[in-house]
Amino acid sequence: MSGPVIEVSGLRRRYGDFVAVDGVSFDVGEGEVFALLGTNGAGKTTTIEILEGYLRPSEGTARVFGQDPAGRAAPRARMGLVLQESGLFGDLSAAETVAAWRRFTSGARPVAEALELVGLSGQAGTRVKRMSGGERRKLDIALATLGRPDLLFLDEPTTGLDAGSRRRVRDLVRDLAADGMTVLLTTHYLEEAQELAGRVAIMDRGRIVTQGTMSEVLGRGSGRVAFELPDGLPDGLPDGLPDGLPDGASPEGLPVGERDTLTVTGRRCVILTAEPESVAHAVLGWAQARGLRLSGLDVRQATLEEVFLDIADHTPDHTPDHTPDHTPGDAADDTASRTAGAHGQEARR
Amino acid sequence: MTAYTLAHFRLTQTLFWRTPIAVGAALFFPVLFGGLMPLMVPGGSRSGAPVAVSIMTGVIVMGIATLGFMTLVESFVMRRQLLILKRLRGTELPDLAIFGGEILTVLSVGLLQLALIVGLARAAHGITLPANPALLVVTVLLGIAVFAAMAVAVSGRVPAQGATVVVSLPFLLLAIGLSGFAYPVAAFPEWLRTVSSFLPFGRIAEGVSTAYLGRDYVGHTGPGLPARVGVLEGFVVMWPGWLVLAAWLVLALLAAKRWFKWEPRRG
Repeated sequence: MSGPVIEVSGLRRRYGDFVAVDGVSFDVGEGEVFALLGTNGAGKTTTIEILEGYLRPSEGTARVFGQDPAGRAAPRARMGLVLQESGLFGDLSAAETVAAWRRFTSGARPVAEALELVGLSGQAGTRVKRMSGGERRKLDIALATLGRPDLLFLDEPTTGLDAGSRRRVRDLVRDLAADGMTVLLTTHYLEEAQELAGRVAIMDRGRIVTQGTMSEVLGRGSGRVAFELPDGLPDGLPDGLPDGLPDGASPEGLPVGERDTLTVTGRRCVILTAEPESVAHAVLGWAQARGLRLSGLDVRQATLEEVFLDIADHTPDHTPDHTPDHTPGDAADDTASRTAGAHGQEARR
Repeated sequence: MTAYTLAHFRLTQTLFWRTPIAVGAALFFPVLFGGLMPLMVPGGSRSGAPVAVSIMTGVIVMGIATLGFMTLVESFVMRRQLLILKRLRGTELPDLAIFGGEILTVLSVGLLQLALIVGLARAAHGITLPANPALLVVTVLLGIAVFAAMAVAVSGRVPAQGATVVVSLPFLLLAIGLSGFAYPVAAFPEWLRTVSSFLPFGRIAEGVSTAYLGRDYVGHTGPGLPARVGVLEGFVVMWPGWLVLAAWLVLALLAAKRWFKWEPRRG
C-alpha cells in the first residue's frame, strides 16, 4: 500500500474562543504504532475524534486512508475505535454483545475467537452490567477489533484501570500491533507509549511540541534520583558533595554528569539525570564507600510532566503562567511516569 | 443499508424485551386500561359510536403514543447519555440504520400491541372485530411513525434521563384528552376541535374509529350514525388525516435533523 494511513496537516479546532487543537501535523504509516501523549486538555482527544470522524476540523486537513474521516466515503469497515468513554448495553452478556456487533461488522471474527483474543472467554455469559472496568475495556477492544481492522484508534485505553488490567490491555495491544495493525494511541502514561509505540508526539496546549521516536523524545527529559543524607552530617552542603552544578564526576566518584543537575535542600538531595538507574547505582556506591546510610531513596524515570515542563521551558512562545491541568480528587494510582489528572475530560463539542 | 437496519432492529428488539418498564408500558398498561375502563363508564353512544368503542379507540391512541413517543424518547436520551449512540456511530452502521432499527422495533411491538387490544375488545367487551383491518393497521403504523419521528427530534432537547417526564407527561395528556378516551370529541368547545383537527392525536382516533366501525368518522361530531364506507373508501375519506399526519411527519423529521444529538448534552 502506498502513502500514510493517517495524514494530518495544519489541523485546528476551535470551540468559540478556545483553540483545542492549534496547527497539528503528523503522519502515521502502515503498521506503525503512533502515540499522542499529553496532559488533560492538551488536545489529544479532539485530534483523535477528528480522525475518527466525530468532529470536523476548523482548519487544516485530516485524512484516513486518503479519505475525509467525517465524510460518507470514510472506510468505517477498516477502522476500529476504542473511545475514551463509551457505553455498552448492560443487559446483554459479553457473547450477546459480540454476536450483535457481528451482524453489522464486515469480515467479523467468530464470537468465541473475539472473546478468546481479549481473554474474556470465561465471562462470555456474564452480563455487561456485572463486569469490572477492566473486563469492559477488554470487551471494548474485542468489539473494536472484531472486523480485523487495518487501523485501530485507542483513546486512553488504560485510564482508570488497575495495574493488572493495564498490563493485560497493553499486552493485547502489543500483540495486535505485532500482527501488523496500524495503531493510533493517546495516553497519559509515558511507559505505555514507551512500551507500545514506535513514534510519539507530545501535545501541549493544542500543539505538538515534540515528535519522534521514544528515545529521541525522552532524551529531552530527565529521570530523577532523590535521597536523604543521614543525621549527623551538617545541614546544607554534605561532606564530600560538590556544591552547585558540578562539571563531570565529582572527585569522590559521585557521577553527576555534565548534563545532570544536583539540588540540595537541607539533607535532601535530588539529581535530575537522563539515566537514573546508573546514577542511583553510583550514588549507592558513593555512600557505601563513606559508610553513609541513605534514607528515602527514590529512583524514577522521567515523568511526562517533567518532560513537559522541560519542553515548555524551551518552547519559544512559552507562557510563564501556564501550569499543567491538575484534576483534584484524582484516583490515587500512583505510577511514577504519569501526569496529574486521570479523568480525561478534554474539550468536546 | 437494509442489512444494517435489520441488524440494528434485531439488537434493539432484544433490548426492548429485556426492559421490563418498556414492555409494561407498551403491553400491560393498554390491557389494564382497555380491560377496566369500559366496565367503569356507563354504556350508550358517543357521536354515533358505542362508548366502549370510543374508549378502546382512545386506548389504541394512548398505546401508540406511549410506545412511539415515550419509549423512544427514553431510549434515545438514555443511549445518548450513556455514550452508546456515540459508540454505535463509530461502527459500520449508517446513521439512518440506527434510527431505522429503533423505529422498526416500536413498529413491530406496535402491531403486537394492536392485536392485543383488538383481541381484548372482542373477548372482554364483545366488540366486533374491525370492519377495515387494513385501514386500522395503516393508521396505527403511520401514527407510530409520526410519534417516533417526534421522539427522535424531542430527545435532542431533553438534557438528561430524569427529564424525559417533562415531555412525556404533556404528550400522554394530549393523547388521552384529544383521542376521545376521557371526553367525547363532540363535546369539545369549537376552538378546541379546531386546534385538535391540526394535531395527530384526534386524526389517528378518527382513522381507528372509521376502521373499527366501517363508517366515516372523519370530522364527524353529530349524534347520528355516519355513512358506511368500504375498505378503499375508508382510506379516501381519511384524506384530511393523512394530510395532517404527513405534515407532522415532515415537520418532525426537519426538527429531528436540527435537534437530534448523538453525544451527551452538557450542563
